[in-house]
Amino acid sequence: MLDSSADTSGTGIGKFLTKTTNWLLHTQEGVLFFIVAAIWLFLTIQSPVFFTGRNIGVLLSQVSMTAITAVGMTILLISGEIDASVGSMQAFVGVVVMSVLNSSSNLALGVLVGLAIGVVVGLINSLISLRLGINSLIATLAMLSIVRGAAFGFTEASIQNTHKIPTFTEIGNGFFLGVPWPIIFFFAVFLIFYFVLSRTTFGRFVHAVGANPEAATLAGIPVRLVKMAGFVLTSVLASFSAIILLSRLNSGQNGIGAGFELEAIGAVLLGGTSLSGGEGSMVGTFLAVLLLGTLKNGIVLLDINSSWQVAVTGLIIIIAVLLDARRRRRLGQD
Amino acid sequence: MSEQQALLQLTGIAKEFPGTKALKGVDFSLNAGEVHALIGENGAGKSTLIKIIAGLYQQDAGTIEVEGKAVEFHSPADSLEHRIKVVYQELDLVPDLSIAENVFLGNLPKKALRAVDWQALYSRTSELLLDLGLDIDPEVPISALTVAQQQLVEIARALSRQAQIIIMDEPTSALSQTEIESLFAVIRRLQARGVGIMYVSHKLDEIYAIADRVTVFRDGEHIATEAVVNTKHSDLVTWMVGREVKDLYPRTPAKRGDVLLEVDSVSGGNIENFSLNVHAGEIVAVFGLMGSGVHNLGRLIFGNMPRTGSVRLSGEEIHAKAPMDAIRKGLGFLTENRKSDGLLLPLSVKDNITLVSVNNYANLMVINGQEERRATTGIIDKLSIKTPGIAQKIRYLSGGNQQKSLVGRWLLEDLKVLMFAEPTRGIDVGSKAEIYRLMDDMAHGGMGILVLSTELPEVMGIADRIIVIRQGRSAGRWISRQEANEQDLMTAATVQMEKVI
Repeated sequence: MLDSSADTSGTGIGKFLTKTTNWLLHTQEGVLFFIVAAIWLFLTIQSPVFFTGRNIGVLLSQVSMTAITAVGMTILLISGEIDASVGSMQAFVGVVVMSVLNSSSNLALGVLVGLAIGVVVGLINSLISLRLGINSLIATLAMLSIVRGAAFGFTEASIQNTHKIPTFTEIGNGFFLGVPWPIIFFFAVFLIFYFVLSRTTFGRFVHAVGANPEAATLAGIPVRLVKMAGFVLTSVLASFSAIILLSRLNSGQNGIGAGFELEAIGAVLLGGTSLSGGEGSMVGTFLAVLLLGTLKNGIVLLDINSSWQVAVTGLIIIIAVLLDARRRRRLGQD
Repeated sequence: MSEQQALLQLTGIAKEFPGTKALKGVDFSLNAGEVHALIGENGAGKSTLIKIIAGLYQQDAGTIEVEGKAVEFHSPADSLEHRIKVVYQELDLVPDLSIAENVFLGNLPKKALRAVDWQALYSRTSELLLDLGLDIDPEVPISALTVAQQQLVEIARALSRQAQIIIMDEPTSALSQTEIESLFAVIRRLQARGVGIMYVSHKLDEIYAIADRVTVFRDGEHIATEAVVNTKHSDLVTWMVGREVKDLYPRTPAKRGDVLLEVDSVSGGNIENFSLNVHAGEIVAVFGLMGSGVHNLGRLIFGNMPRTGSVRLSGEEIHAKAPMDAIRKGLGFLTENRKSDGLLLPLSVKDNITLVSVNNYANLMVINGQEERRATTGIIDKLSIKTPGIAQKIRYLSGGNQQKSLVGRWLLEDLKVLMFAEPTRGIDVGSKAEIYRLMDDMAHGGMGILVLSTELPEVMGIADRIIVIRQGRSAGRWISRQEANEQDLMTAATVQMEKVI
């Protein structure tokens, strides 16, 4: 019996307004949207540079790497698992891809090798977490060290660009129809996986295995396979981020990406994805990444000591958890 | 008696959740030394009221008074402070800690330097347990206890805090008959000490066995409060349902077709060499007591528990590895723990209902939203599931409507046989008949139904054939329910097997 009296009946506009108000006040996306909008307004007033196409382009390009990894992480967290190894992946994929490019001068080969590393590391992560039954936070924290070690083992110094492939530099710094490539990659990845998560059976199964693995098993869902796909996807997207970063830096550095995993996971949590699995929001992740980028950008524009950029990640995580607790309490959960 | 000041007085309590008014200004009072039963169908608002008293939810309106003083509960600690203890249906004990640690959790006896006084802890726990008629080592971990024993531990926990108000939420839902009787003995002892007990239940017989007064809620409203001696069974049902319920068991004979499910010498868990078969158009019931293996049987057949022996559906072997294969071949299974084994709490009613069948509305993994919504709405109408919309999160539905959604999940799949463990557990009187009618319909539609139940009246009411299971083995078979009687079935289920050394 669908109880239509619960809907606020009335004109279309009234309904739309109620819906929008509800979204703004009662969902984490709404609250985030509010916060981002407020900060954008503030920065626009404070700094004449902020709301210019050029600055927004810089802002979005800077967060595109975090964003692309966070998209995978959103899916993984909803499935009830986590991947902390994405930080070291930025370094390892970077040094390996740069050296492949230098020796082969073949861009496609370099990118493929980079993505293949993602597949392999994702499979290893899922093997340790799902087969050996080690909590994925612990398993991937261990992988964080192992992959970092591999990056240091691969090269003792940074690997410079000696291949001079022009297209390679374009990945991180070029424009397409006036829009920086990293932003195009970011939006494309976001849109594709927004669709996958909300409209496909795979997306549904991701939610199900995170919400209640036993129920998912009894409903005939291949729980391990779904989670494995989440691990591999996250790791491959992290590799993609690493390739963009590599192009922007134009050198493979074995120490890069420290704290990157916290940034990505923090953004996902801030976006309203639950640490306990089963619920989450791609739009939330998008807005959270935007907030992260805006804060970092604002610190530069307002001439605040840029060391604080690093502290922003910690702040974001605390806000994320507070918002989550507040929302749960109001909705009478737990 | 009426002059006496109530131990607990709730007045005009209201609580609203997104999309539902769970309580619409209800009253409830509890006197010292009284057992006051609260009954109502699922969704009547009982659980919400309990959670308000426990300090888990805050009411939107209304007052709570303890011994005449107005109080406000902002957290469970506030409620405990006023010596109120809730014993939940799903017990909230820490499985890996000992009985004693659980009893005194948050309240451990201390020696100098805030070190735990283990000696005092164990001896005081032993005293409390003996007082409740439980003679067991307090150092044993909770996980080693039966559900009935765990419940007594919860009560001991209440006593350790000198609780004066104990709220029991469906305390007997997982207990055997003997265990229920010993629980009642404990309740009477508590009563004699002046403890007030709020007893929430579905089972009307229990109300007559134990309660002094009874209050009925329906759809979040207070319907009646009466002394139990002044009420008739039929009054209670009418108050709860809002209409008269007749014909609880609508089973009509259906045409028996070919054999669909063949279970041949299946072993695993505590089950040994169990065989049975189910034909099209048939409802077969396996009856057994708690612990007999009656529920595990379903898991073995479904492939959710390692087994030996063979299971065939329409002649095709079902692999023992994962339920996926069983489902693909046309076997469905609703477990007895539908909440923990079935619900996806953070997901919508729609996503819960179409969990198994979602592939049917998808093309290359892309879900056709319109088709999925149509299927969901169909189930919601068919099973009269009360929800403000298909996008409502299922956690906000009442227990009974959650149950119905899970039943609906399997109706969308083209099944040959449905295994249904405890089909009406947690389902209210009004909906029970609907569930039985549904099973009857399915049988008439050519499906086979296998019921796994610990409820004798239910088995007697709906089954075409009955098999009794005892200690994992077949303990008797009846080829029609007319030939069976409750006594024979109970005897078969309970008589101790000869001990062979």
